[in-house]
Amino acid sequence: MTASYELIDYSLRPAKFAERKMLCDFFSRLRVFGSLESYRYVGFGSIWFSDCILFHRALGISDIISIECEIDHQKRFEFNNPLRGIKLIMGEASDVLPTLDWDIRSIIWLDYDDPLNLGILEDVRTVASRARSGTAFVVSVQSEKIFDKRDQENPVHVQSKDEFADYFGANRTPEALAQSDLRGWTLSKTSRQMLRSEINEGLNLANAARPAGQRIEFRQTVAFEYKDGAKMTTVGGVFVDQGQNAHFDGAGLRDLEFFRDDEEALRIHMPLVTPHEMRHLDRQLPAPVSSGLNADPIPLKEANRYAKFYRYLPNFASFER
Amino acid sequence: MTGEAKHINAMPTKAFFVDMLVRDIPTERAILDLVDNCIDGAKRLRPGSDENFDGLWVKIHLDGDRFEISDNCGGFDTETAMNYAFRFGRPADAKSTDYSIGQFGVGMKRALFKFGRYFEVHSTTSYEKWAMKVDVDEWEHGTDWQFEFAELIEDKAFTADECGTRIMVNKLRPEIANKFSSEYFRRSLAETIRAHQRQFLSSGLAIEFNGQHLTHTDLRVLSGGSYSPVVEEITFDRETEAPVLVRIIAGISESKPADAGWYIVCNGRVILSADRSEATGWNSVSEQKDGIPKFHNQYARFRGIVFFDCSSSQKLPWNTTKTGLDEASAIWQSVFPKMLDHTRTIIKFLNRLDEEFEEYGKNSPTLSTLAKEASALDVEKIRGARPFAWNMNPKAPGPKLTKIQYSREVAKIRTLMEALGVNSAKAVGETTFDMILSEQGEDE
Repeated sequence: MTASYELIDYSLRPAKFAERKMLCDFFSRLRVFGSLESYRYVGFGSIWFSDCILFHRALGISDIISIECEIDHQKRFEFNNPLRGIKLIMGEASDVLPTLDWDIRSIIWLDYDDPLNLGILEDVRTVASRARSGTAFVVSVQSEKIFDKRDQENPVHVQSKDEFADYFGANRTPEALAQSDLRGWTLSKTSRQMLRSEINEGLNLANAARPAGQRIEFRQTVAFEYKDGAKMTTVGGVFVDQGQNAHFDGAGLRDLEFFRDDEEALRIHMPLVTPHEMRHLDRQLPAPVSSGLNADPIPLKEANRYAKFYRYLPNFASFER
Repeated sequence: MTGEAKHINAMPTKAFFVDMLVRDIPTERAILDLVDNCIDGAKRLRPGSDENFDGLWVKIHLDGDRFEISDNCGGFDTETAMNYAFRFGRPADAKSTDYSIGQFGVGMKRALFKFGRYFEVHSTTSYEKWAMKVDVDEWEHGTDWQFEFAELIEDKAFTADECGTRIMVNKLRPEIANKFSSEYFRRSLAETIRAHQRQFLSSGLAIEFNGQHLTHTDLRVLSGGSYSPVVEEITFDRETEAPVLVRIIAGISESKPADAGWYIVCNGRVILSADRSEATGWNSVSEQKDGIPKFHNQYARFRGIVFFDCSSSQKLPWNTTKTGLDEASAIWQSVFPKMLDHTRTIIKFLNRLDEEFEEYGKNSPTLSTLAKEASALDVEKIRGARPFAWNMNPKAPGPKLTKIQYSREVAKIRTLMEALGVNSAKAVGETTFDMILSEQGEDE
């Protein structure tokens, strides 16, 4: 109905902001595969272009593609394009992605506003079956509720295994899928599993024609879940061919405190602390793992959350004295 | 060369044979063939038409490194192994199982050679136990067209628990390893097995697939009250030793496009599942003919099943591999027009239902009497010829409804969504309607 950019200022969503900063740290370690300046970034910049700007400034990437499907508002997107290096391509991701040059090592972040649907899975498969080794791939989806919208007028809220299998197909339906996998935070986990399976399936098809030693694997690196408004979840990693596994292992990705290569995600909680409290905590950070924070009178839970995310928090808190 | 007569060598190489054997069989089929062999074992163990396979099991495991299938369905003896199972081509005097669904020799060899370059077969019957281990590369290099037993115990009694067959293949061919390592392939294979062997699953056979127990999918039609599916029963070759029993059932069930269509079942094996193609008469509308339209979602309640049963399985309308339909079969040609008649009857009813639904929405009288009177009945349990019947004078459960449709500017609808605290355009329409109606003092 209304395009989501008209409703939300992306730069003001704090958890999303932290996620973007963490992804930036992740991408900076890709230089083991090739200089970051030689990378291309592909994303959905919306009218804010927050991701494009950050990755340009922090990583030096200047070949940037922003895919935008709101064809009716093309002028406004062009007007807001902040950098000469950003190429705005109007169209659906499903039409644009297959036409990109996949020989270029890329960072691709498909940051959807929608919950998981068939179109998203198709896009994911498109990327997985084409990406070259060294390409980073991140997908974010909303994970509040899944809807089967094949009948536009009567969307079905997917709540049971039957409804799930009917919409996504039997081969995408885990045998043990329970109703609880389709609601609450568990739906975030289910969404990530689905995305990963789809990536693996795309790889599997492409790998069939690749010689042994050059088959590509997806090495998961990050998994986030958070709730700025609606619940969102993200899974990301790097496509690595068997010959370059040592590159990946030597990139130091495991040292990142938000590194996640399994089913569990890092849940991003925004700490509720005042600027004065932040400065108090900052003087104790980074804290050695063993020692606790001297938080008093700040609630310990908030202090710990701050300590966990302080490097990635937004700096647009109002500056009151 | 002196003295000996010269001759031209026409001996095929083993590699050529193996290559020919595995070429045209899809991987899924090869696995289904192996499952069929297990089921034929179960049929030999528990003969008769009233199948009860309680306590019998088949276990399948496959991943990127290994394929394995095992069962406790009686095993097969060395006589069969030595003379039939591994011969290339079927000897004329080969034994057959009554009501068989598999094609013993061909299926197993094809699967083994297709999957990998090393296989083992272990089998135990009530009086024998044997095993063979074949490294295909080594075997291809040798000149003998035979396999050796790796283990052979004869004339010893084995308990029913010990009887069964285990087949293992590794050194998988790369394309097979790639397939077997795909989660999607494994899941869709499990679904295929579940769909094709549903009748045996419902007769108590346990099939385990990569550790997961496969449950049988229900094939049910609505029956009860004034509702009944149509059932037609025909016997072909009545005077012979092996008559062919045909039972056609057509009716309605829950609205599920993926499950709608015709099911063709030969000796318990589903060879066509939820078929909505020309093969079962759909999309046969042509000029000067009252045909059946292309399948459309308003027919999502259609279910049709044809059971063919015969102790002599070559009489059934399936192809030589028993995996698909043989449309040239005389029996099929005779049954097909009957299926069309019944399809037409059900489609007419569903069209009526569709019109009624347009008019009444969820208050459709037929749908509500259907829900009240009829219940889902397992198709296996429906016997005895009867015509299609439905409640022709259903009472409407509520007042007649009709749909209003109109378009307004998106931004304005959003304004109303916010003002009214609802979250869809549909809700805006309904709420504003109710508001005006109440304003007019007309709502009760």
